[in-house]
Amino acid sequence: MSSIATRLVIAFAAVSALPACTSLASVSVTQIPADRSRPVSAEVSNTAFLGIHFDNDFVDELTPELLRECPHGRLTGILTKHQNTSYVIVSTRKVIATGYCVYDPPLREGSPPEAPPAREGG
Amino acid sequence: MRRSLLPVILVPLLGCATLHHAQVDEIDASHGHLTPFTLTADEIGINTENTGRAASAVSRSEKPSQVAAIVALFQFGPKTGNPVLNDDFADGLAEEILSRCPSGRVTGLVSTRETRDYNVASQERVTIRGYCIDN
Repeated sequence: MSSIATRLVIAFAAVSALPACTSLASVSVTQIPADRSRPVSAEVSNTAFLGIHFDNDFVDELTPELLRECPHGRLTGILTKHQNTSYVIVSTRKVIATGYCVYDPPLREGSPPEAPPAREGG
Repeated sequence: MRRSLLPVILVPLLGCATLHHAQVDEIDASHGHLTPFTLTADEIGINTENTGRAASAVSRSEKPSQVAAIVALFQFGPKTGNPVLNDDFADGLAEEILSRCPSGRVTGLVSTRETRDYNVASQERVTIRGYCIDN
């Protein structure tokens, strides 16, 4: 009896580990900065048996996670990817955000905004 | 036998959640303290097929399912979640954001589009989370 149970557990684990379909639900991107020296990324995920999820609150943690990586800067060039992966009997939803942390130089009071660089060969 | 049917009855009552879309906007934490806010807009969605099936089961007649099939023909095409009676339900969110942040300085907007499925009906929801930049 115990050997049957062990075999069932092994079979269950093997089937669960088999990668199945991955689908991309949505993608969005914001403006990409010139200074891309500080890349940041964060991801949140939610796994459920048979893909039955009861809420979408896992997304709430994404922004605080990004803010922890760039506490006093500006996060820009954010690529957000929402994907679903099914492993036969369980499914995982994942939201991945990657971007850049930019620290703008402080503007002096009354100073005019910096002019953009001149085009070459124009 | 009846106990085995319990999950079939209870799971739709709890409402399965589907996430259709998630988007993170730029976050500016360099210009002051950030105060979080959350806004939601809901609308009831109708699952025509399941409504027809439920009506057929109650009335013990195939006619409701047949009517639902005809109605479903008019809803043919790509859609997110179930059809709703009012497709303007999320239009006021932009104004609501500004009323939450009188300074007009908003950052870190996270928009999600989700469905809570209750078999015959659903809750079609748009949620906006973000931060007001305090002066």
